[in-house]
Amino acid sequence: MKKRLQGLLTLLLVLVVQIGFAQEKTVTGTVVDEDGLPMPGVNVIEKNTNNGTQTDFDGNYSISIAEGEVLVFSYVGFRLQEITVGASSRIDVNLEVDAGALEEVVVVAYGTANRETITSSVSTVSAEEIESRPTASFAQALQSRAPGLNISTGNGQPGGNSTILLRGINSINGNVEPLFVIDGVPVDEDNFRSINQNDIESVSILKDASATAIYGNRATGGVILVTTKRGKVNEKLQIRYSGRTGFTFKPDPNFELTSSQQLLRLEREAGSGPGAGGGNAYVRGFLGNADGGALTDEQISQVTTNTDWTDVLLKVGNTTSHDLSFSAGSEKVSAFTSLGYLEQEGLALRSKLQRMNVRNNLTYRTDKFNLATNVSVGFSRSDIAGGIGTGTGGSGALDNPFIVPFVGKPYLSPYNEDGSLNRIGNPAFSDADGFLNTPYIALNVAEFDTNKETEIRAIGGLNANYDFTSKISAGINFGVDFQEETVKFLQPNSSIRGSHANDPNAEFQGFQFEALNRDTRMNSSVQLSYDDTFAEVHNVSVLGVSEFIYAEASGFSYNQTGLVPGLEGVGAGFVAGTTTEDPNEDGVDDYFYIPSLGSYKQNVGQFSYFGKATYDYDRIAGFDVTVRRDASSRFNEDNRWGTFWAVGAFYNLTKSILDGSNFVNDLKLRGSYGTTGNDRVASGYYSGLVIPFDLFNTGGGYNGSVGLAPSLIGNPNLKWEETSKANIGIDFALFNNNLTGSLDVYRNETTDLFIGRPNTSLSGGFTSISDNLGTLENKGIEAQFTYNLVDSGDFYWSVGANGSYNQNEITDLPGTEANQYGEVILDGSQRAVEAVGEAFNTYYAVRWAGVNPANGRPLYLDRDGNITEEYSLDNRVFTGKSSIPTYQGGFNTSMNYKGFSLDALFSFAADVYRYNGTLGVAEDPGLIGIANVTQNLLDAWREPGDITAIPSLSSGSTRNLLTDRYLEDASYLRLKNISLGYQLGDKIMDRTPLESVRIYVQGENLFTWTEWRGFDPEFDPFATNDFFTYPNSRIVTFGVDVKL
Amino acid sequence: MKNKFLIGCLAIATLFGTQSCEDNLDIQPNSSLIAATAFQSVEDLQNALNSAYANYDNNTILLNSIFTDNTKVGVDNGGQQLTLHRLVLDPTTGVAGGIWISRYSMINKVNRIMEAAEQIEIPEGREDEVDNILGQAYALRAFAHFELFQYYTPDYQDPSGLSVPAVETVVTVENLPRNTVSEVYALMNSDLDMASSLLDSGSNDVKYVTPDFITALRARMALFAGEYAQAKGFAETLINKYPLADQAEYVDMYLDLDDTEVIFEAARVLGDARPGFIWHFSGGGPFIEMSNSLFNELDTDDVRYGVLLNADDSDPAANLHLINKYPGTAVEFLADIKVFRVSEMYLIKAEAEMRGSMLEESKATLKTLRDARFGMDTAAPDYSTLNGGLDFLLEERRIELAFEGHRYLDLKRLNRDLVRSQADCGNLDNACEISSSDRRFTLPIPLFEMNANPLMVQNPGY
Repeated sequence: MKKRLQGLLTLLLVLVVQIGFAQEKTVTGTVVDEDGLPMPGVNVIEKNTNNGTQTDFDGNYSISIAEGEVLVFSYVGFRLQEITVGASSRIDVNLEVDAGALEEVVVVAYGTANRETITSSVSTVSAEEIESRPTASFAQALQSRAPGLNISTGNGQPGGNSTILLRGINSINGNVEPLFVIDGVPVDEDNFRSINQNDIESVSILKDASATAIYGNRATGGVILVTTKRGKVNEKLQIRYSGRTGFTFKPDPNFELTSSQQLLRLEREAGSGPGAGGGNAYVRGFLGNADGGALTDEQISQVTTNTDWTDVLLKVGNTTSHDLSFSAGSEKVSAFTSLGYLEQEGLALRSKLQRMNVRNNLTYRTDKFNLATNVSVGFSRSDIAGGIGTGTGGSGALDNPFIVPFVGKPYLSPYNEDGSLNRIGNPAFSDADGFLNTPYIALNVAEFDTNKETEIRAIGGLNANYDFTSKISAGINFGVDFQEETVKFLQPNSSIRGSHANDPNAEFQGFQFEALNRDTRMNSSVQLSYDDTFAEVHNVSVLGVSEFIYAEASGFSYNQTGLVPGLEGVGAGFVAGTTTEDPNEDGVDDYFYIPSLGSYKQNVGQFSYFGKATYDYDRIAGFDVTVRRDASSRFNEDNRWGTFWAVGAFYNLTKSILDGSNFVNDLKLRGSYGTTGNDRVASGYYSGLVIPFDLFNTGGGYNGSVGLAPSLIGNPNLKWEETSKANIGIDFALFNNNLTGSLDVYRNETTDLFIGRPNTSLSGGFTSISDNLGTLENKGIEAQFTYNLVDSGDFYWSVGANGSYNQNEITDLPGTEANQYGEVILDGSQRAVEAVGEAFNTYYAVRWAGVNPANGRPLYLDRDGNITEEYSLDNRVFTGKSSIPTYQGGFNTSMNYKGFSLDALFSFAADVYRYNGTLGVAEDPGLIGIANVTQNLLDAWREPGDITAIPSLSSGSTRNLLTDRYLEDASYLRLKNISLGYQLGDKIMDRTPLESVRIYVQGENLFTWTEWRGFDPEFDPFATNDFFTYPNSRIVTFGVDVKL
Repeated sequence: MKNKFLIGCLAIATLFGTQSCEDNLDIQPNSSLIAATAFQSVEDLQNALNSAYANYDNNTILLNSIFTDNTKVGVDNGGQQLTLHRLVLDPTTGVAGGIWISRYSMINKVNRIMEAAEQIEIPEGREDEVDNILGQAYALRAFAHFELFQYYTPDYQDPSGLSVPAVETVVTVENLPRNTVSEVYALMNSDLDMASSLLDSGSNDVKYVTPDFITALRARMALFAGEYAQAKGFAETLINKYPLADQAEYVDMYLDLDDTEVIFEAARVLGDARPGFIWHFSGGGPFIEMSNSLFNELDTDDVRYGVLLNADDSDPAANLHLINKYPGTAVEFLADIKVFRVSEMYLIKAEAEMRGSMLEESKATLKTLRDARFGMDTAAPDYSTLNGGLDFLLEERRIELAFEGHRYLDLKRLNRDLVRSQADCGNLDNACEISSSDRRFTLPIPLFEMNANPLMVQNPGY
């Protein structure tokens, strides 16, 4: 097969050389709208080729094309026109408004296509929908913009990663996120904080097999293609400035904590903590009760401090951005250059992102030769709030600012006697790090410690194309995604954490960690394409590509404990590892300052060749076929190669049997079936590279020696996961093109799921072995529509909506034994499990049945639904509730009246659940005395006959039990974004040198409707237990857009 | 050079559609050794043995303190170990899985050493070295099996009752059933015989397996099997060899400054899990403290008062009792874990004497120990029945072996209820008592093993 393809390529090359060149000429013209006004930015493309241009500011274009070929003029919202090039060198075009949505040109895999002839499910998002949003990561701006695309951000750190799912979860342990390709360069999908969203021209979201199979074993999660802005041919210099400033502030908490008086009474009642005379003397000191003994009612009523720790720990942050872009073009060369600066502070102290970007996209075009380059360099610096964890599920660390609002005691004062902020709390060495000191630890860490990530990200691509004839062209493509990140974590001697960093007997404390991580991903491909039209109606195209991808990650790090005060943060302050001390005077030297070092390197490669052929009959009906062969270095040689394929077809009813009347303007049916793969079976790009091997490592010695121990039982037979995708869709334009949209029904089935087969722990603790076992299925419906309600010159009003229903089910887990109830569960120790017949992350829980009025103890339902006081894991049942939403989507409306515009975007998710471990902590009677609690505990059971939902204070903690007590509905409807703008009128503009000025004010996440009892119902769908996560902020900004 | 070649590949090779790049898809793990080359030399055997020793972790100390009446919830507790302290024990409980995994990992590693020793080429003149490694391996295999036996066997003295799988081969994916008590004992005994024959008879480093380690283990095994005469014999062998520490030596022992009465201690060096962190945060704040009931057993004249209680930072009047065992010397809370001490041999001997109706001899044995701890002549123990004697013994074991991994096993072996004082169980109605017949006196087979191994049978009640 390989040999044959090689032969074919050679043959084609030989043919190419021998075919003569057709006569080409330069055609120029002007494109205007119905009112005769010139239209900039109209796509002018030679039909079925990559040869294309755009009209300049004055609607002029110039293109090199052979006589007899067809020019296609297209622009979003206008009817497409095709004109065959005749003898004349000038073709002026009049575009009509209200073209059906089907006729837009969209970016698809390895080129562009006209929506008319696409067989696949592709959604697009335009620049206008992204560029003015204040989100620090452009992925967040895509949320609720396309059906089936689920973007959830479970980490409010500015620039924090979002989880991006397209049509549900197609893998249990493997990568579930789509492949992101920016201008032909595949990029890391987990990090967009260094990318400027204002550079983006359009985003295409490829969903089904026909659209994605060409990406082979990287495409199971779908593909998102990002195209950045480019200069246009013969365009005069355009300068654009956008600036924004505003602030971020906290969301509503949706829960109520006790006041000082309430808490002290509860403490006294529970016999624990300062209210009962316990706790440490420092804390009791706030209550004037240093000597201990339970407080009297009078003492409690005299406590005046009532601190709301959210006011102290969370702040109103500033956000500012400036973007400046230049765009220009001559006949052959056009360029787009942009500069960007963003600074956004989060809610938490010390939480901030700063970013600088520069981009230059250059296009060089002659009759035969096209060259396009894209280079963007981003530099970002993130100050990470203390203790917030990695973003999936939060963290219980005491310096996490989001733990404090729940556990910080209200009777502690945040201020010193002189009115300054108290950032130390209990100064006693053994207590400064303790639980009762939590709010002060969080303040202290935010003030004194450092956790910075500095990143340089460069994405560069080069695309060159040569037309041997009007029908045959060859191209090469190179791309690099380069990320270099330095992490610096510093706890100076003076901070609480730093002062405890080393052994207490050591003279020098303080801790510093630094790491440098470099990740370079390169791709290169060569392609050959053939396009032709026979008898004017038979359109044929063939594309053949071979591609090589190679990626390398490496890095090193150190930990230094022991810093000289005053020189923290630099190497000069490191106490040498050879330094000895003898604090216990036993005559033996003690080494307190030995640094630890780390270094790693990983690489991954992939080699592929693939092809796609399309045919259509006069745009009425057509089909396409795709085949890709991929070899991945992640697997053993015998399992390395995989073949993926797809077929798709479309049929346009309005061009054939239906009359394209005013009622039905356009109606197209399409369908596809095919397969894709997932070679990232262990999710991360560099994860799971060693799984096929039996391994030993040298860690784990004894008594200061080197060890040797098995570290992995491998599976040499491992291979990629495979997903078959079926899709049927309909695109429509109705009622004079006022109602446009599409509807898709799909079914994806993933087989050979990568999961851990349970293995005996007698193997030395290898309780699971990686294997390809299991099948899961996603079935769903997606719809989107846009309806122009009013379009009467001055006033324009449209509404749109998109939504999806996705049902996920794990259908088979061979190799996993059924339990005694016949349930097949992958890992029954988890709160949310993977089980046959259930959705991914279905909660498997003992049902909570309230409180026994007789004794105040918790009640549960047993497996048969009978009430019992005994909590037993055997009584766990499937709840039918999952952390992945079944329904999600958004709706939007857009209004323009004279210069005013109002745009709103709502997003929603429904049938989604999450365990509220945060509230569980705040409602845990066992924590009375050491933490604040919710007011719900005031209603605890007290005497026989009490009917209440809260067990007695002495009944112990239930939050860590695997029950559904805190399993909450996390459905929400959110006003994701609302924007009110005004475009300055011509009368004013005529007196200025400016072309246009628009001012606006907008709000992000302003209102949320939810039952969730916490800060934020939006979360990472993989985090099944909320634990003090960093919520998404509300952001209000004022902006101005100026064009020159 | 290789990178240049790769970039060359990127640039040129794909252009011509050749497959030379495919060679670059053979990427081998670069951070680990692959199995085929892991064992090459005698040094590799020794390194693997080091790893096996390292599997002796702190889990047994954790269980025997937090899950018993020796501890209460500490003043700085922020939820740490609360579930275990409240006597919740099920197949998902971490410590129940931890003891199982660590001991079976130790067994797996020593089995690999035995297998590899057959395969590698042993240079001439190094046979004794290999024998000594193998001797330690066999002894560790018996030791690990005995620990598993102690925690997962419902009835120690029913020879045909279910115990744990006795593993003599390198298990990777094979499922094994549980063996009976007598089968486990048979393997342990034969392993110890092998160990005695292979071990360098002169080895005396108390941080490694020595002939005395084997004797001490045999004494414990005999005690659990109810072979009291044997137990007494082994205990006396060691009593004759090791003196009891005096008061100063006793204090120094827990600071790693004295080994007078240590038969075996598991080394803890910088980087290892520190025993004191079982109960304390770094910096010293306690999330678990000594119980009032244990504190009330202590006499201020007894050297063990100060060894068990951190008197400087505690405030018994305010219900603050910090655990002092393993205070660490140079490094906070870092000290070698005492696994076998000669004082335990006195306690084994005394119990064997009681069981053999030699009550007076047992009183003398206990008095010898107590005299050493009090540093003076103490009153002879006062009891007149076996049960009374066992009560006294249990109390003495509780103090002498506190926080060294014995309390839970003592209650189980002697069929005593676990009863906490109200002050120690924090007014919680479900955390104060476990009767001696409760299922929780045998650990559950961990859920991960039940899920993986259809031959595995769960312990009663779970």
